[in-house]
Amino acid sequence: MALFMLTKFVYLGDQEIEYLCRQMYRQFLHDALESSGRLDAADLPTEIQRVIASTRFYHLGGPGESGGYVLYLFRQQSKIPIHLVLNPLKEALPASNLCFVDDLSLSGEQARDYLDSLPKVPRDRTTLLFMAVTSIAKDLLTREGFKVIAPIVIDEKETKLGAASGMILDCGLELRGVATEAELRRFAEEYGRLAWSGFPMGFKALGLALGLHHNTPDDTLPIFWSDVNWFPIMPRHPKVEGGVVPEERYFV
Amino acid sequence: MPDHVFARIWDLETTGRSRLSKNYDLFIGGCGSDTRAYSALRSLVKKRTSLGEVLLLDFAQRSSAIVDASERAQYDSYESIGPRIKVQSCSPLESRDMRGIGSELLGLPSGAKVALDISVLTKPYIFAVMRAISEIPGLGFVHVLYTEPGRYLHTPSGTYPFSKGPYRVVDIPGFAGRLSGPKDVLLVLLLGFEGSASKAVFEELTPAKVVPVNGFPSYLLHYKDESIVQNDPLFEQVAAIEDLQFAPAANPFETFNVLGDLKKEADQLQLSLVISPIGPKPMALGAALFCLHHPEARVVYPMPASYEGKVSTDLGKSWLYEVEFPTASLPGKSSAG
Amino acid sequence: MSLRSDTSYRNPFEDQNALQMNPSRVYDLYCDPKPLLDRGEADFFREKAIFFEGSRGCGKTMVLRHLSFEVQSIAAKENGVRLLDHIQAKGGVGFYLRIDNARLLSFQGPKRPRIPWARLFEHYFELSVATSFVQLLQLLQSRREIDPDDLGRKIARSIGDVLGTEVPFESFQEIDHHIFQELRKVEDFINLSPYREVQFNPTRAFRIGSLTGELPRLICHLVEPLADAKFLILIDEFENFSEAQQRALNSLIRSAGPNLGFRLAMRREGLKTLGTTRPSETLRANSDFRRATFKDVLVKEGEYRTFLERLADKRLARVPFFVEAGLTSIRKILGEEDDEEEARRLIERKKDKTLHFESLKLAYTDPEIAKLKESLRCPANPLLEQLNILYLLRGRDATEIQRSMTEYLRAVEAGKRTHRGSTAPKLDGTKYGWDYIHKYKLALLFRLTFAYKAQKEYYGFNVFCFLSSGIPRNFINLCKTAFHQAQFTLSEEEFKKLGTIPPDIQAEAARKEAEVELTNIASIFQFANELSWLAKNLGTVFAEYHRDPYLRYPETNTLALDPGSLDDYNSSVLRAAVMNSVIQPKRREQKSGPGLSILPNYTLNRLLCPVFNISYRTRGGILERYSDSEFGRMCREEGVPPHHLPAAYRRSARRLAAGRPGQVPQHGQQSTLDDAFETQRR
Repeated sequence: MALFMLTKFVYLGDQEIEYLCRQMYRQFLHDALESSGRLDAADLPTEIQRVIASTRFYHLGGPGESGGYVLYLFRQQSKIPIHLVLNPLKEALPASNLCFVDDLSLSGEQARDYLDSLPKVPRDRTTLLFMAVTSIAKDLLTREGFKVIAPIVIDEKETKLGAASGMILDCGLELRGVATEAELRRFAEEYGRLAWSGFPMGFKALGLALGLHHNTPDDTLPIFWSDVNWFPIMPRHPKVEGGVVPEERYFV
Repeated sequence: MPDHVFARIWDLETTGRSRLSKNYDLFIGGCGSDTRAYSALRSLVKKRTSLGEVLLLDFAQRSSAIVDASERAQYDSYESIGPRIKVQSCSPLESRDMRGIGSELLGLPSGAKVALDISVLTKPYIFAVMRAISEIPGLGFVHVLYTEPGRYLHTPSGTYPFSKGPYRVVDIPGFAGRLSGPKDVLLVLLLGFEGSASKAVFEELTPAKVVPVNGFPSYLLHYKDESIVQNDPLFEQVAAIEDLQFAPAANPFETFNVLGDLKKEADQLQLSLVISPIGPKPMALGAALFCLHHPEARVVYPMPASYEGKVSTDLGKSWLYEVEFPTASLPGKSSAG
Repeated sequence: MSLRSDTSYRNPFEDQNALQMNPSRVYDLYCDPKPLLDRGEADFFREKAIFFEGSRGCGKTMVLRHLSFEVQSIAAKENGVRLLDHIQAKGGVGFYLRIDNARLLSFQGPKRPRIPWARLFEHYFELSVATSFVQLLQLLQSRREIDPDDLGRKIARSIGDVLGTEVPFESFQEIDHHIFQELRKVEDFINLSPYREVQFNPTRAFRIGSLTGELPRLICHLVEPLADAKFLILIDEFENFSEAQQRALNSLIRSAGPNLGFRLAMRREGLKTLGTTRPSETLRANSDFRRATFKDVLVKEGEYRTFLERLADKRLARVPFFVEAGLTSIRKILGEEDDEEEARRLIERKKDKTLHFESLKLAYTDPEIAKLKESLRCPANPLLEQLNILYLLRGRDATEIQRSMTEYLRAVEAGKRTHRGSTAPKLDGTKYGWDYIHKYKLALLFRLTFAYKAQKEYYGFNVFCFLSSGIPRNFINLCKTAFHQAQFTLSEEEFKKLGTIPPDIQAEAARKEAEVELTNIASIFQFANELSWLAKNLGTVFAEYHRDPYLRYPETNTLALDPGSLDDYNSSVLRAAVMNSVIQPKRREQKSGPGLSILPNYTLNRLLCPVFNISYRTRGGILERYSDSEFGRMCREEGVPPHHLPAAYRRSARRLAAGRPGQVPQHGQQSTLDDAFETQRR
């Protein structure tokens, strides 16, 4: 069962992530031109210059979080001039259009909470640009008044070991000699409970099987990333919260 | 002749709705028992879009493969959609004579509006219909509609037999490329879920270089890996995975752009560009559009021995693509005359 | 090799398809295929027409490409001579043409009375060949063997006359451009005609032979060193041509002048017609053309093995890693099979090292078996134990067997201590020794693997030669996979130190290739289903003979068929099976059994042996003989059980066939057939 689950894990490697950054940029442009009614303009390159020049790009979340890393890749792939890429904690938000960049938004709550903490984010001029969102997160953030763009939108039926997740096949796993659907859920949950009793199926029980080359989100099933009782096949690098500095050994 | 185009793509759930015309002189679609077969047509009728003529392509071999009564009912349900639906019988295994479709199009006035639903057309017919449409004088653009499947159906062993081999590799009529170009080939495979089909193409053409293009992002998250896994028979034979490229499965314009880059590479290496659209239909559409602009590119397709009846279930996202044809004559249109 | 890739290492067998090789590579790797054909390279340049027939991978493309001017120009350069002189010395040069099947099908467009597709194809063919002529002339000019201002211009003008241009050509470039434009007209017609009515207006329409007949004559006349040269049209994959297209080529062959020759490569049964475009005219064998058939199934012939060795060693010699390590002999790298060692290795891995004695339950009780084990064991050579078991099942006396074995072992021991020579005792001097060495050894090893539900290991240079089934590309693929497996299993240092690829790695490669071959059968365009079942059913039947504890007919792997007795459908299936090398005809017909008539014999493609765990050798004895209806059943799921095994055995085989047709028990799987035996009593 574990091996079967592993074969259904979706891993986004560095090449795919770079490609997603390019797609994020192109979708952003398409949307900006569409919204301003300039998609049919005769001189598209000029329009594109105008859109970029009137936008400021920020990472979603703190500088040491994944948003900063993704913004770096995004800037490289899109070739956006560096002066347009700013730090939201250091500089006052200007009157132009804003674009926040991050890798994933799976519940939407973290992004919402972060944006709420910033002073005066003009929601009607703010675009949230992700590599992947769930439809749940997209709906939540859209209701909050933001525009959400992502090349990958994970439908609800793909979450929680749903019918379209690839993990549960419509032919029945028992026909493939693996397990019944109930057995697979139980298996994932039992191991998940060992790892994270609060969310044995991952954060908000999203039950994803998704990882990126720079990290594995905690919405993914803990059986993949937890190191509580075993060596994880897809390690996760959690944020260290609080004031305790992890012990390091130094060789003098 | 452009190597890159800007994407003119809209989500029909949101911004695309307002982009649709209030009337179309001609709507072309296909018959099928997939849930999505008539979804676009139904939506247009529901919106009270004025449709001058509706032409559905009825693929005989696909229809005869249906044994299930509910699938048959679904296949025939176009009869209840609206008036003036003309059904043209065609063979999915044979598209060498497209004059029948051409005659439907020739009667259209200049500046006519055409909608084409490619959701259940076979890929050779996507190319053939696009070619036929491109011959209409004064046609500015065509609205191409596509409904993603909710998910594809598969066997207990995890394969996706949309068709059954053995496969016979053929040129798609009208897209035979150049007889006089370089002999060595750069083969671009738009990956699908049928590995034996791509292997058949590879073995037939014995290319100097193979570039697989994977539909990513894919309709469902895990499909981007399925196409790699299902094409293992090919990747065992040739180390093409190192040259893997991406294009979003639902965005034909990005496929166009990728082909533009590969065309440049082929020219530099003095290779003929040959494309095989085994993957998602929007990617095939992008390839068709590219080849209309670059007739030196050749398109080959692995014709199966037979097609399956129903290959998908439920509905996924719906898309509108605004495909422009140049107002000037396309290359190769009339030089044989 | 470790994951760090060494720049000098690469798999010497990576490129196995001659179609994908550049001319230099073809030149480097070419070996005269004389062992595979009745005549060799010396004849290839001078004859009028040769039809090379053979399986996929037998080397037809390599031969044709070698004859092409692109490759011969490299040969001329290597020999430091002018290309013109080289061509003169050889007697000719060729123009290689491969039109893929998809392209050929384009010339069978929509059926409309006013489009003579066959004529269009002839026109296209003539222009394609003309292009090759021009390319040769351009090459000669670039090598300064033709002066562009003098002879070059003369030739260009003459060719222009033939092409029917109004303005005379002054250069080869102008001819090239003109042909390019004419081909564009063909392209546009092909691309537009499915969509609308179009007209085809070439400058001049060429019938078959109008250019290909004239150009050689013209060039021979104008270019003095080529006065007696033969220009060879080298057509690959001729089996893909439609009948009409083949007729056009046949017409060309029939009417060809002395300066034009043809080399056509095709699969067996690929020639659809000997007819031409003229009614009731046909090509005459040995007069208009000669058939050169690549031999298949060269089991014993040393020449074939030497050919493969040369082929492989050439490749090794071109990879610096192997040269530096002194590993340039494929025979050394693959080594030789060692049946005794393999048997020991097999048993070493098992907990119960006497499991093979269980088959004695067919004739003995458990206490009897325990006693027999004591006296007839030979742990140093489990194959002798297996021979003893066979003798016991056949009713021989245990004491007698033990005495014979002891005598044999003594001779082996003595052989070790004395030098070779007439005084050394012959190991096969006794019946026991003879049976063991010459009759049963390999069969005993197969029996042992079945007893332990293991797979026979297929490894060693000789075995790979056998498995290649007379098809050089199979051998190259086996080596490719073996080297590939070795690359990921051994470090570079280990490989260099060992100097060989270990048997288990080779065996894995052989198994993998066998599975690929079986999968490939399912992709054959015609009769894929029938051919798949035929292969699986034959393999299963032969496996039953190998599993027979009595070894009534050891290593049976050949069938007999009378093609004349088959109905039309089965005849077509048989033809397809032969054409695609699913089964291969043996050169000599033989009796299918005592008192039976002589019939054509066929073997299953040897490459499939690892899937079914059967022998790759040819033995005498019994053949499976099929009637028309039985052959039909063998091409369907039902199959036919082995004819020459007892009824009780057959019942078990039918159960096996009904449950899992075509499947051979995998390693670790329970064999229903062995189970059946365990419950039988003699």
